[in-house]
Amino acid sequence: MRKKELDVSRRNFLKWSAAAAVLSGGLTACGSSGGEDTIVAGGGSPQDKPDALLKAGKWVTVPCPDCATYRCVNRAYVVDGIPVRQKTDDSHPYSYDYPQFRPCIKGRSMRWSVLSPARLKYPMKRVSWKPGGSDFHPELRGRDEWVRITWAEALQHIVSECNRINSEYMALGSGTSHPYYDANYAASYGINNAIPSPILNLAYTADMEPRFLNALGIGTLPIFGQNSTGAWPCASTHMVGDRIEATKSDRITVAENSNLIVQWGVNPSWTKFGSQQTYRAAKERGCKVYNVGPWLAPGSAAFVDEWIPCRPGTDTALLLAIAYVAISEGLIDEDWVNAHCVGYDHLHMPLRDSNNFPILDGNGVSVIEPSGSWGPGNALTGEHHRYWQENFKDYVLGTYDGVPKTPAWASAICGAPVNKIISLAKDMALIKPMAVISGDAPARVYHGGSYAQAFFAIGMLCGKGNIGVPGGRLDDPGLLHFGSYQYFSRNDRFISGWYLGLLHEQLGDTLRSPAFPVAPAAPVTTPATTAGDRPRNPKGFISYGAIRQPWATLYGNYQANEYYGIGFAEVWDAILTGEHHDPGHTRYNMDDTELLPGHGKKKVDIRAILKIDITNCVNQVVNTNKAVQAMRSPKVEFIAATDFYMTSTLRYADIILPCISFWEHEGHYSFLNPEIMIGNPERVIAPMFECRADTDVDAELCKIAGVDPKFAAPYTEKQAMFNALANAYVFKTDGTTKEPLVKFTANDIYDLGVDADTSPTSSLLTEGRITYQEFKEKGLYQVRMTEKTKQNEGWLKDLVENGTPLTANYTTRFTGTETGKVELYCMKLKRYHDLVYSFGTTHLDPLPKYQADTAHGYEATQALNAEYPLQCYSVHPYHRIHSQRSDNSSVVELCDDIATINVLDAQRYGISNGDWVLIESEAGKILRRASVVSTIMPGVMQTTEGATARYNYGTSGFEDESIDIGGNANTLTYSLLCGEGHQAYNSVVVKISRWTGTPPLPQYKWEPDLPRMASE
Amino acid sequence: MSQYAFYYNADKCIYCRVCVLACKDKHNLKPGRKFRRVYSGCGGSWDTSSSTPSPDGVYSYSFTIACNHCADPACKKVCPENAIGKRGDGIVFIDRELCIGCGSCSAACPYNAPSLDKETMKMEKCDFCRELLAEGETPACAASCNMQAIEYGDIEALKVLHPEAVQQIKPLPDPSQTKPSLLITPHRKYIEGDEISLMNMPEEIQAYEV
Repeated sequence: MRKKELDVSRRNFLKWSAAAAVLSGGLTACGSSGGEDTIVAGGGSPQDKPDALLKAGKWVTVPCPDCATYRCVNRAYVVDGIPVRQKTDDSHPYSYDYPQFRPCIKGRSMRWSVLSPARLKYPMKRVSWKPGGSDFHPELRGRDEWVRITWAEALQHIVSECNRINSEYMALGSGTSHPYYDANYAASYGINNAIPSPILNLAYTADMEPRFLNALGIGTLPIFGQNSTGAWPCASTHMVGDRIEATKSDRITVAENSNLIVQWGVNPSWTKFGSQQTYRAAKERGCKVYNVGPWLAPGSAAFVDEWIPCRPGTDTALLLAIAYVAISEGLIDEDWVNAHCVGYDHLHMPLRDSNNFPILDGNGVSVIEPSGSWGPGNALTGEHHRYWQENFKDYVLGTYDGVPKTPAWASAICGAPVNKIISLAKDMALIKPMAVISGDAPARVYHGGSYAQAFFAIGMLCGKGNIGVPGGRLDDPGLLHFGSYQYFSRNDRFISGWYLGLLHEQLGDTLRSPAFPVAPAAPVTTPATTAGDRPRNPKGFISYGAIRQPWATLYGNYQANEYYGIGFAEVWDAILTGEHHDPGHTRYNMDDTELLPGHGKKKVDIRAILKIDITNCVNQVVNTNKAVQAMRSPKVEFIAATDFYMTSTLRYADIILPCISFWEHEGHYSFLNPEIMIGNPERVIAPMFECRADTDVDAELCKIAGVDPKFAAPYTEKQAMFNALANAYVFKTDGTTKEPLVKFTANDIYDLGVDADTSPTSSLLTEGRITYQEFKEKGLYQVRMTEKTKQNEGWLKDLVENGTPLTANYTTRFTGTETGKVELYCMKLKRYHDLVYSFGTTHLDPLPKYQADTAHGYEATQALNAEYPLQCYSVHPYHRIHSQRSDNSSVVELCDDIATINVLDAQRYGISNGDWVLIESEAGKILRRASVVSTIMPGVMQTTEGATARYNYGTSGFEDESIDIGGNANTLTYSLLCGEGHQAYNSVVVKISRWTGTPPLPQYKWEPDLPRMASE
Repeated sequence: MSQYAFYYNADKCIYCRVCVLACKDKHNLKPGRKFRRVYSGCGGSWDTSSSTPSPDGVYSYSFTIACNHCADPACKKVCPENAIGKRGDGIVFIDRELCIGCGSCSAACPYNAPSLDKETMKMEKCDFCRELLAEGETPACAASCNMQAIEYGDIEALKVLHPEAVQQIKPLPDPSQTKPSLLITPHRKYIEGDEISLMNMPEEIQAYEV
């Protein structure tokens, strides 16, 4: 069966290997027309002859699709339509201030991913699944064999099953008498749409909805939450006004000016690839560099001077001890802090009304109660008395709770030695300017919100001499871009139409969201169906029109009349149990004194699951064991999914559809790195086999469903790419005015075959810094920074230098704070908690307080005879972007997914470097090889996220279905609803033992993860 | 007579392994084979004298290595077919017409450089990307390094540029064996004699599957 499967692809693979062999030179058959079926043995050696044949093809520039960081420069050498070699930018000499953006191993190995034997080739149907909802054998999902079907059959199944399932479900009752009707949403959605859809959209964002279902009025049941940003957004939005744009010196300004860099919970060499030269340049100038976290990553060897170990989930304790040292030793300027913050001490608590809203003056700035009327010794008692005790300084000093947050207190929790805490605190308080750069990771824990609060609090305590000063920086998520994310930043180098960032967004819809309108005067006409006319999901909240949500997350902006769907962490439970917590769930208030009104638990009945995009929730959402159970639920009659490879999600589907890879799209431009605009105006390689773009799939579904396919794909890919390019602006060397980047001739427009406004009144297309032909030839345009174009801006700089209140600015998508200052004590967080926060689980305090996680954190490992004595967290793998690239053996050979443990723990459990170990949590078991090192803390171990879960397949000899030999980090994580729906990936408690059974082969030798085909 | 050499800066290396991948890409090496490898080691220990263990001199370092185009190449000496040559510019190469794939060179090389192509039963190894050099281009590894931690050129010129460079850090063998054309700046925290644990998985540092 497998042989037949492989045969189908044989012709193509022979073509590739032929081309590859030809390029390697010296081959007897080289250049011959040996025919597609000639087996070309790899007889060539690169050493024998010069690469004469290298002249046969051309280099094509292509942006790296993989990570959300620098979008490095790849060049693929394409011979006869097949990419056979890669290189990077070599068009100018390298310097840190005008670098070649050289890719990491992910980008550099792209050709092997695109041409991987693991690629899916045509639509398939699971053998035992039949349409109609009565004979579909859900228990065989993940175990069944597959048959090839046509695209027409596959698409028809999707449309008819969705229609059937929806009709049967809607027939359960009419309007308010329907068993799943929810009156809470009737006012916003109408009577019928207050019945949640039975079709789950198992994709991350609202932008990836199956549009045909929206157009049909059926809609989908959405999921929401934060898988990337952890608990950052809510806390920092309300406390600082903006998650990312706190204060930013750009990359070069940091390299040239910072005297202290503190990297917190981030491994920039591997997961912010492109930033490492900046850190090295700063270090070579004499800047001191700290890294804080459970692991001293090998990549930090190039720049880190001091490692401060800190256990997962305990960063808040460490930050509080830093504050303690800074405050108790008088190292900070309290007047400066009080001038720019509220809540630092008892004399600077914001005046509030009886509903916990701050009282503002005529300028929108918080009124502070005059000193003298509050404080020890005055007559105020009761609630008001308690309120002014709740200031940051007194909390840190332990004035009222009796617990001074000393280095010794913190050390016992976070594991950093006391002397190291003190030296870090003194350096952070005294060395200026300082760049404090956090990753998202420390907020991806149960009480992650407090970390985000504490991070900004310490940043403000040490803010004088940093904020607004070149070389000062305070931010998450540690990318070291100029002005950080393009689409959030008002400091954009390029003013672009839309962020063409993540892979799933390369789908030809640059103007998909009116929330991100095209920046100045777009010289582009749009087709008749514009993004704004596209039908919304009638059954749930989508991001359109909301402030700053490219993802369908709350970001601290929950609206009670909107239905957001199911929090990620609860999606499997919702399928299995038929109910989920609504964010506005009924629960007690923060003080457990008052039962608050809310929406309660919501009933759902999920009968179908669609995933028409590139996400992979079964693998990437917490608790994969439960995910598998849910995908096998007998209630779920139909599952369809698209992807390049047989991912964990596709494995448990009924219909699977093959997608084209990044290199097969008709061009792509990336704006993510503000220093460079990079694109491939042409495809690198034609779509392989029967693969199609996701948007095409959705458009075809629209056609079959009888609705306008433009709902799914308003523009052709080429048009979308043109729109993006034509709307790119670049700063002039004065650093303030902008000009269009690319100018087009009428011939360019004609050749591209795109729709453009070429009328005489629109001269914009004919203006631009470079011609389209220049851009096309080079594939990129890189900015050389000048003194004037360097950046040192941010909302906090305006606050500190000009006293500009942090008030909301909807044009620039800045949320602002209620008091106009940074809120060390944040009333809105308290109100937000009472409104929505936590589904009644996590506690979010107005102050950044350390909260022990006795169920899943360090404290849980310390219980007497704890069953799970180790803390385990997962890092982004260096060699994959999440679960993509699992099947690239050339990379896996160099970077397997290993379990990293400390030498002391290894001794304790009898484990040597390279041993296979079984890692068990309450949620599941994985098998991995151990890497025994001194560079991780004792008591903490680490895995890499994104490894494809493999239960009982792929490698012979492992019949125990309870063990995931693929080593997916989420096999260990819990279904834990917390915060605003963020996923608490980063603290799981586990036990570990040496594997005494048959050891699996090293992973790079595993068979490609292909579907098993049924014999016909 | 000149001698091509590689210079590696272990103080800058971030263990990204792009040089290995770029080399595999250039030479089209299948999974399981490589001409270049990155070693990664860690040192230091944990002081357990107090209740909170404290890292004591914990650090890690990495560096890349391939064929060192030795002045006294062990591989050349043992080849029964005289298939290994050394050019006037010092580049050591294998003549595949003569190679019989016996593996003697691999066994003799203390740096684990030669890699057997099991399909053709020919040994291959780093040839300094000599055809790229001939066209005035940079060897694939050096062109790929994000940290500019790989340099190449005449060994005497490189010595002048990097007077601190050495020819041996752990786990490399004694350079007196083959007189490698190799210069390495050790990591700033590395002290000769430090006890080092290698962090690599076995397949990561093998030239080919044995």
